[in-house]
Amino acid sequence: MNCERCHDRPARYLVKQVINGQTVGELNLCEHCAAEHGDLPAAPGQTVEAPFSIQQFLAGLVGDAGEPGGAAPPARETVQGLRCPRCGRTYPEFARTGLLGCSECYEVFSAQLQPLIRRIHGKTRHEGKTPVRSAVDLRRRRERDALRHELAEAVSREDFEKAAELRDRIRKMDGTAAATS
Amino acid sequence: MDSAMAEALGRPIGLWQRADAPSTDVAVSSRVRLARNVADLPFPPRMQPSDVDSLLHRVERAAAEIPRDLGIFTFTRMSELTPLDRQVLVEKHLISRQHAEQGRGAVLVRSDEQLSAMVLEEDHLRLQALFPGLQLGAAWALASRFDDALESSLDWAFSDDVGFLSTCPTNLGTAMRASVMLHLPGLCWTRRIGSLLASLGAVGVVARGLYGEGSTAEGNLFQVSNQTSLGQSEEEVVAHLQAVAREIAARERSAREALLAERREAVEDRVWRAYGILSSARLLTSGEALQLLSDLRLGSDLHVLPTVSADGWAELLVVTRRGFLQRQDGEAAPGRRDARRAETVRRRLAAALTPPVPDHAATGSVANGTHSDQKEDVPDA
Ligand SMILES: [Zn+2]
Ligand SMILES: [Zn+2]
Repeated sequence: MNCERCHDRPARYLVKQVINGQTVGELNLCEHCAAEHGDLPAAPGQTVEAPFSIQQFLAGLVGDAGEPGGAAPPARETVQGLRCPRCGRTYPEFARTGLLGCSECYEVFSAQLQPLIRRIHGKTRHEGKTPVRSAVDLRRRRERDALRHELAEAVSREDFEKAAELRDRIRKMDGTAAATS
Repeated sequence: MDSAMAEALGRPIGLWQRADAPSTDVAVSSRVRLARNVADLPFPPRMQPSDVDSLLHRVERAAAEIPRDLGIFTFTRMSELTPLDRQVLVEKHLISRQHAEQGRGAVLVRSDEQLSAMVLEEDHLRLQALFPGLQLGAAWALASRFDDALESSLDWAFSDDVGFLSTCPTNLGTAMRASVMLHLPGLCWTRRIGSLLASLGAVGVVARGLYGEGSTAEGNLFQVSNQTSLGQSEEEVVAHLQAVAREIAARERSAREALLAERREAVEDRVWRAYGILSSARLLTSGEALQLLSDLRLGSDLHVLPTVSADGWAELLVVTRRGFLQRQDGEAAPGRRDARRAETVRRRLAAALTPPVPDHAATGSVANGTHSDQKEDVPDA
């Protein structure tokens, strides 16, 4: 049997999901995926308890598979139909593997990711290192956004002299950005 | 294959492991690993063959541009390595089992093996810095310099809100996994290990076995690492884990002292038996070797046995692994492996020990077990 998370490697662990002391589900996982669950692994073939599963969590987010005889919750269809326009990752693929397909997936699936991220990390905002070059870009982008805002205000109060000056500054900025990238 | 890679595959440990370090009586090594993805390529699960080519080319070029003061790196495609070569890299903790099994991508290794990167594992890059003993702050600082050097030619996938973007949301944020490899024979013997490990979750720390990723805690070796990566700076995470590792080390030392105080004969018997078997056995399995090497180390740290140097011991751990042994001895049939292992250990053991075997060892009157000659970064508990 293959791992139920990555579907790639042979399953060697039976992982029980335990929430508040209650076993709510079981997953057959490979070593890698069992380790990603953050448990202390026992010997292969043994049962380990995993406190949390991404798949389980994502499945819970979109409701049950539908009550017997009843319609599925309306949100389910919409969510299951989500697809990243850049890499083609679909929501069902993400929910099955717990893995994203590209950086844009983080935007596409953000509604489902936000509660998931809070559940995994207990936090939702990054603290710590920022890449050197992105940080420069970020500063430049923020400065440019501020100038744009000023420009819109100048135009709305018909201060065209100021507006022209601001427009030149924005152009100059875009020019240096283009020249350095 | 590059000659630098051939050399790395032929020696059991990298130069970094030869340096003196703090707390080596309990902490074998410290590691900081950073996941990074290139912004304009899909993540590994969605990469097309052309994306893979592009990634490998770009990383190879970026590696060539690393400033010389950060060292000399060798870029090797996994396709250039045999499965046995890859197994050796796993045994040396340079790549993960997953990377070895998948066999795609590449590996980037500095000549002393202190810095390395897996290219195309779960993320585009997993950078790592390794230090002997308990030195997480130094490992983070060096890993970050390595990251900066690569980032000067590669754009990382990064968001202001959630930090470095990783394939799996569990690594989001700093995308950092800091870990310390701890040798905990005292806590295992006194059966205090279970409750200790169970208590780690509450402080955001996870424990795993020797080769991470689901291996059992063979040889009383445990890897402890941070559980989450979002919302705390690298410095905070590293400082916290360093404090947790120090606390575990203090408990391990007190367990060892308690063992020596209460069950001296049993301790002496066990470590001398390990020494006896290692120095005279003609057949050794890898599991037995690992257990005996753990006992040998305990005996050395308690000054019951002659001193085993930290690097000599680290070498013994690797030379007894299946892949390294087999690669050294290509033609040996699998059935001969246990004999070759025993022979290798006999040959190397003498060099790893600081002779002579003390006189009192024969009479059983042993100096009180202290570790005053170990460099410590914390006072004893
Ligand atoms: Zn798996
Ligand atoms: Zn995508």
